[in-house]
Amino acid sequence: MSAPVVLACAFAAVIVGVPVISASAHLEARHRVAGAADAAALAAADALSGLLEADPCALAADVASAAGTVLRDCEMETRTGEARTVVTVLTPFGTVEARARAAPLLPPGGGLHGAVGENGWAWPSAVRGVTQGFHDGFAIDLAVDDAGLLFAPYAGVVVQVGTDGGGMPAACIASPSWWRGPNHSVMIRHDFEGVSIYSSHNHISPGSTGSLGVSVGDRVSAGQPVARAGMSGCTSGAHTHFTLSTRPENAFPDLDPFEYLGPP
Amino acid sequence: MLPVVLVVLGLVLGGVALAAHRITLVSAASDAARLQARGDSAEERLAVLGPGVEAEWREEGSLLCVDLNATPGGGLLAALSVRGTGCAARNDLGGVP
Repeated sequence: MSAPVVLACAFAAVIVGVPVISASAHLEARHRVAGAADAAALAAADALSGLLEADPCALAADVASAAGTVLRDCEMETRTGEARTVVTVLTPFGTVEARARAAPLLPPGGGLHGAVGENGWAWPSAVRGVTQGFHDGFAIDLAVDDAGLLFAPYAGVVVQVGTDGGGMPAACIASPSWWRGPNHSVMIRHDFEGVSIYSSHNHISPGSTGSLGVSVGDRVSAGQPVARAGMSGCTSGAHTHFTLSTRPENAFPDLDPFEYLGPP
Repeated sequence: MLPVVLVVLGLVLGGVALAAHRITLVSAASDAARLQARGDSAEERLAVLGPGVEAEWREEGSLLCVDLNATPGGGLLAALSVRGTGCAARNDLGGVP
């Protein structure tokens, strides 16, 4: 092999090899930043869902930093539990950026959410209807679908979950076969126009509130699933008994729910 | 002249091999950290890398990190080590394997 040919081969190797190595370094940065963005989004989503106890975006920033990258943007969607991150890293060839998002496979309640009206109130069941009008004061029985999801009628704080402490009502003393054990309910306090209002769903399926990720002290949004209809308490069949009251009680409510929820 | 050409070719090919190996390790480290930190096993993901790759796990606060170290080849490359690091937030199920 002559000297010019050998030199040409060496030159060609350098001409081809250097860009390939440079491109590989750039590709490595892309892999690194993509992995960091994924891990940061997962961390933020886990923190948002309560799986991890940390501020979602602060945790995402820690994850990105540990991988030698920088968290440039972090956004949360609390209703769906989705976290979105933008992570960057500086390379000799410029800034490399990657975006990622993560969310629970199904948000609590399977992604269902009650429609919220212009006044901020939501019909508290998946079916807009009642199976019984006013009784025991302004209480109503809500129509429900097979899934039986019940929603928070307005934004508020959950103040009670589980048995309500009430005994067997007169109706069940007269008809003992209707008694299904203690009534389980979920009560929410709403601050509306400067006044505290209390809503309650009754006869709910025991444990359904917890299975939806809701417990006492939680802040809930209008239309957020908070329970499933059941047959706890005194009932001749599956239904839900809904109340709206100025008092933190579920008996003999004093507020007309239709004034807030609109007509069925 | 020929030895010089061989050295140049060797450096170029070695550089490409190192870069490719680093990409593999960085990608695997990210995946492994995410899996292990969230309670899944990273064993299967790391097994794909074959022998010669050492995984060093460590906890950094609420994070779980893994350093993957490997020697990309024989000869002169055996003197070099390539590393890829991945970290992820650790939940109650995750931890150092």
